[in-house]
Amino acid sequence: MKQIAKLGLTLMVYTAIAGLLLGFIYTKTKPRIEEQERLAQKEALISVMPEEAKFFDEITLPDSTIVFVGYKDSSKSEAVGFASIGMKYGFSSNVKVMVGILPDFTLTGIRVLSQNETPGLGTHVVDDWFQKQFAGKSIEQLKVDKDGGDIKSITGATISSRTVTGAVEAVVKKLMDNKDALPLPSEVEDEVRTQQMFRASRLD
Amino acid sequence: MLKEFTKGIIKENPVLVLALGLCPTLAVSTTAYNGIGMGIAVIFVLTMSNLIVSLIRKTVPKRIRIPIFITVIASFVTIVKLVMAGYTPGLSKQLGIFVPLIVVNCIILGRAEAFASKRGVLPSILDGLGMGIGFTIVLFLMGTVREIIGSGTLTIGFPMLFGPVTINVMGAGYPPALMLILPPGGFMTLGVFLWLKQLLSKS
Repeated sequence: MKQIAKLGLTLMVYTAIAGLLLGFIYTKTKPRIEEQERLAQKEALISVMPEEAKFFDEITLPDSTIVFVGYKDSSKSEAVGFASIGMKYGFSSNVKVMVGILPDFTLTGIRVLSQNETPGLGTHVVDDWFQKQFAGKSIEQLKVDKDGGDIKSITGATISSRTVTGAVEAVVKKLMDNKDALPLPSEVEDEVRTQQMFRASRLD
Repeated sequence: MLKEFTKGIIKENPVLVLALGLCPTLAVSTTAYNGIGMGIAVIFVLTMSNLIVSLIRKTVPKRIRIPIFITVIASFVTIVKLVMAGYTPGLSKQLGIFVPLIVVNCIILGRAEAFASKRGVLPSILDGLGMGIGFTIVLFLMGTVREIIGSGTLTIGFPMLFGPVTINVMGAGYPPALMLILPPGGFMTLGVFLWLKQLLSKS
């Protein structure tokens, strides 16, 4: 019994020293890590927004999704683009993607923020050529080529391609469903409404 | 004394001769840059844990030496993970889960148990450095072979010094042999490397 207590105490001393050391390193690196995460998100936001967006704002939808709004100038009167983050489970990980759209709901660009798909296959969703093809697409085109859409999927990684495409589609759909909450320019709003009426009439 | 350093590189190479740490070897060596990044993380953890284990070897009771060694190793791995996330976010994203998994890389516990817990500080540091470098060389070479054949590219760089640069080695029309960057390709490449090492040491 005495022996066990002694061993336990010795082990505790070692783990306590290790714990203190790690606590120290953690507090030292924490601001730097947060800074890196902020930078990565900021950079992603700028890359998916239309070029003329210079000032950014955040609004929160009723379901607590955060939507970033890009404005041309500091008066923030004219919204030129929106962005939001979507997430979907892919082949082996949650894929997080930042999606940027114009006020008429066509895509300006996407950026995969984090993923842990198969190295050499699914990880190619971060490649430039894959992400760039989303620019200019509308929601009807958001399907991979194997499903009859306009997104060229990665060879051998259809699941990851579908995941990204699906996540992007979900974000666009959510923004469309909540378009009353977005500060849309009025004439564009009318245009969207006409377009939708047009589509609806075509369906009839 | 110098022998303690050089033995890990060829004669007792941790991957090719001791056959330790094969899981990270197979999983990470999909590109040359990943191999270098993982190797450097292992060199740091292995050298530091060898140093500490050798320092405390006389005060550690025999019966609880393994949990104490693991505590030392896990602490250094956590340090590496935090520093990587803060300073080389790209590499940290690429290596992902494999950095925390250095804790269970048997090279490190193996060297603590077989070498550092029995020897002085200086030989232990040299042993850690040598073994780490031997591990890095194998990962880099395997990564190079697998990436060139499996993706047709070569990604080289050195964490924190110069960023990864991807060169298209095989040209645009090359159809990549995807299997080489998947697990079966890892085993095949490792098999060829083991065979080459045997050929070399025979002659």
